[in-house]
Amino acid sequence: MTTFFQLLIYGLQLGSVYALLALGYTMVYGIVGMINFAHGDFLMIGALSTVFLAMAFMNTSSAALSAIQVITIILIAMIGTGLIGVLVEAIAYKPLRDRPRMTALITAVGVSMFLQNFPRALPFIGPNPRPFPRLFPLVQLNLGGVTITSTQLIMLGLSIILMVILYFIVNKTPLGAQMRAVSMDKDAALLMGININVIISLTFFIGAALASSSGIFYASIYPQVDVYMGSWLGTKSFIAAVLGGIGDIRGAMLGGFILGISEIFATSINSNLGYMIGFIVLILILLFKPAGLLGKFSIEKV
Amino acid sequence: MATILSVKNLTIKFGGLVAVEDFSVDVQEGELLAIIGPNGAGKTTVFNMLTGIYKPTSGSIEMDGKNLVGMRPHQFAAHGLARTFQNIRLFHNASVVDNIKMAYTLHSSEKFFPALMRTESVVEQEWELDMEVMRLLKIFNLDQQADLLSKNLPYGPQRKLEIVRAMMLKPKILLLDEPVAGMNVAEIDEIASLIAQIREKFKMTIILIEHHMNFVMPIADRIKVLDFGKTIAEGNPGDIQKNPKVIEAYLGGGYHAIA
Amino acid sequence: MKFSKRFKSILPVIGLAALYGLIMLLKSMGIANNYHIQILMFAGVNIMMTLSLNVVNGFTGQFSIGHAGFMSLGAYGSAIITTLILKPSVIPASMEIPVFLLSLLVGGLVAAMVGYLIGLPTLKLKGDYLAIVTLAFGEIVRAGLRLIEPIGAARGMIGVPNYANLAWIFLFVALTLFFVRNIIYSRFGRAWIAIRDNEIAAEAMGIDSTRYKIISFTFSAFIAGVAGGLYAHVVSFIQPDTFSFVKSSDLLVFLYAGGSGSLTGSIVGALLLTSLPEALRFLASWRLVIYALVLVIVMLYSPKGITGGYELPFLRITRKDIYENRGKKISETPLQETKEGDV
Ligand SMILES: Nc1ncnc2c1ncn2[C@@H]1O[C@H](COP(=O)(O)OP(=O)(O)OP(=O)(O)O)[C@@H](O)[C@H]1O
Ligand SMILES: [Mg+2]
Repeated sequence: MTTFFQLLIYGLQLGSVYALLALGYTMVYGIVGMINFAHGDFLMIGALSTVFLAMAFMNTSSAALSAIQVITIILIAMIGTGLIGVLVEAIAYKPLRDRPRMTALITAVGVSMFLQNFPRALPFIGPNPRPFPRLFPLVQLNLGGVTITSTQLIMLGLSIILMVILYFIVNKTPLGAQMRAVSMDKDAALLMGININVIISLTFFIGAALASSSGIFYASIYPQVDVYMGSWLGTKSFIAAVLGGIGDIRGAMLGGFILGISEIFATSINSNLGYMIGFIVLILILLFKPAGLLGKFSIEKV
Repeated sequence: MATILSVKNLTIKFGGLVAVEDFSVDVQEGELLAIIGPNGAGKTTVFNMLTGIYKPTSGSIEMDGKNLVGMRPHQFAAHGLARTFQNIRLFHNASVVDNIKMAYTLHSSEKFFPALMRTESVVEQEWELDMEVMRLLKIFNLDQQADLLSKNLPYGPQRKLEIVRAMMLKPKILLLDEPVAGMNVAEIDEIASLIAQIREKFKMTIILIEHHMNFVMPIADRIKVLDFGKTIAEGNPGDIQKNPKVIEAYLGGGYHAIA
Repeated sequence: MKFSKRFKSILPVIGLAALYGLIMLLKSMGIANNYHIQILMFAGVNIMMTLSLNVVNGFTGQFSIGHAGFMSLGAYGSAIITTLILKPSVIPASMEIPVFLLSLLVGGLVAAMVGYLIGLPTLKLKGDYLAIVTLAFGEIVRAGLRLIEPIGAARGMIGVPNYANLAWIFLFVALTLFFVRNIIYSRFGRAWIAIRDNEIAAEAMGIDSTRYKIISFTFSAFIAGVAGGLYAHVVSFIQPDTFSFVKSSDLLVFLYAGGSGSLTGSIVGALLLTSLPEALRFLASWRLVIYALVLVIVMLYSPKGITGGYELPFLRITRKDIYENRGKKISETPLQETKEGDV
């Protein structure tokens, strides 16, 4: 039983990483209708930039990082990555909006290659993994044999806060209403005077910023960062978004946690099985619910 | 005259909206039945049910003594129901000839492995098919555009091509959804004579949706009028024109098309 | 008439033979070395893979993004025959070719069978959902292969006999082109294109979309399986991780950068983009940066790919060909050249 709870905690922790990353996939899909295959790389950018920011802060203060410094670092990393997301959209995706979806998908593959290989080629970054700094104090709590670390608590807490904020923005603010309008019907949104470009840029900003936070959280558990880490985490989170029902924010969160938890449990049996389980769960869910758990198909008007 | 299609109590709901309610009709061989009604009355939805694209909530569609409800659209086509679309749905990146050949898939006896090798018999079949398509195109005066990509055709000929494509299915009933929508007077005349030709040459049974009263009145044998999904009148063109309910529905819907 | 008909159909064969002769000549003169030949063989396998993907994505309009999975099934299927079931050391020299060909057939059939089985339930899924399922399929196959100890698990299989030489690759690329072209210009190809252009209209015109999608998928998987088998017998060493999502996305890049829905596009895309990274090797770690930039720029500025929808004359069958094949003229029907590729 303790093993079960211990695994569940690991599952929740991994699930929160997937959920945060899946949100970006689902938002971009919901609003622009494209699969942004470069989305996972925003996670890497978030983690990598945190490494360098922490180095810079450590140089100045030389001691361990203070809470204020950690918060500053996280915010800078999130905002910076968000802006990179906006830039990527403006340069590479915007011109493709009216083209076949595959064109945008392939472009995204190219963008992803660029985002991975550009830092890799830079002499001060390079291909080698580097250690991730400790951002959160290390305290271990023992609850009847189940260990919970402060990092896990902080991470889970922060990701839940971020998701609640996002949910609030999308569902309760005028901005969110505009986002929902664009995702339902672009032409109608345009007629209502909504600036679609701004909404799309904002979507990319939020998605990339959330990806950045998930990168920081992920690296806090597995403290190693390299330029390729975003690609397979991205694939997993994309799966999470689809199995939850792509385009639906609650679906992305749900999918993220389902994937994280099932992966941890399967890995405890066999690591290859752990890798496979997400894909198997996905196929099974799609066979019975072709639009994902919370997704809905409408009958196409003919 | 014999009944070739028997539709009973077709009803379809989208969420709370009853788009079509209790639509029934017995279609007689060789007749031209027109369905008219204001925007959103449910006319296209009837076609979508008659061709298997929407599954009705209740009701039956009988042909050859079989209820087709629940079958897939291609099976409706195989039973002899061919249609055109209100919003043109051609195979845009294929040539005019190929668009029509695509509607022959069902009747083609080409087999996979011979096609892979392109055997003599496949070449022969392809040649015969091409000849047949060209004959059809010639009848409908589209042969000059045979090798054009269909997306490069002007609007009028695109609508016409959709009709020819449906004819290639060798259907028992041809369903035309607003075949003259958006056309100018000359083009409308051309479609009218084309429909006359189809009836004369191929003895085709036709169901037609149209807004233009002066187009429908002279050619229809029978008219059904839909409003808010319900059939509000049925009869020959003369009676329909005088029916107060019909006038009301059309004027209520802001229509001025009654001649 | 008769002669010109013959000539047209053997012209590409002569061209291909001449190309092969030229490469061998360059090799004997020391201008082309084994490394060049090796790249050319990889390019050939990639052309086949891209054609296979083209059938599903380019012509049928479905989104497979896990084609490396079929390739790995073919690679393992055929390598198991030549390496495990029949050991290379016990195969007499005279039997090498039949065994090799048999193994390729098995590889193709294994892939085709799996393609059929996963196509059956999944091809009803729409667009992006199908894409994600194919991705999942590819990754499940890869992770599954890593679990099977008799075929080397994650370490892979070594010592696969290198039966496939450049001549074989040439032959199989040519055959693939011939078959794919023929099928595209038949009832089957037309049905695929109809589904691609407008699935609702295709169904309404009597085309059983599920059935034709499955045919497309199975045919495509077969080609991918054979290509995988060839690959295994080129490199002698296969590993599950070779056939990851990275491989699948490479293939997508070849297809769309070359021009999807065009056979010429697949040849150009695979040939160019297989050799480009090699040609850029002098750039060291900047190589993939440049490659990525080239790709994005091509997608942004040349939406129909490098070939822009062009099709080489012998890779298409026009109406004129249909008539001339039968020694008939079509004087009564006017023939315009379709400018863009007509598929
Ligand atoms: N797939 C669908 N989902 C939801 N509602 C639908 C769907 N298809 C049709 N409707 C609704 O059913 C009603 C009837 O639509 P339909 O297209 O049949 O009208 P129509 O008589 O053809 O009108 P028009 O003259 O404008 O073509 C409309 O209110 C329409 O919005
Ligand atoms: Mg309508």
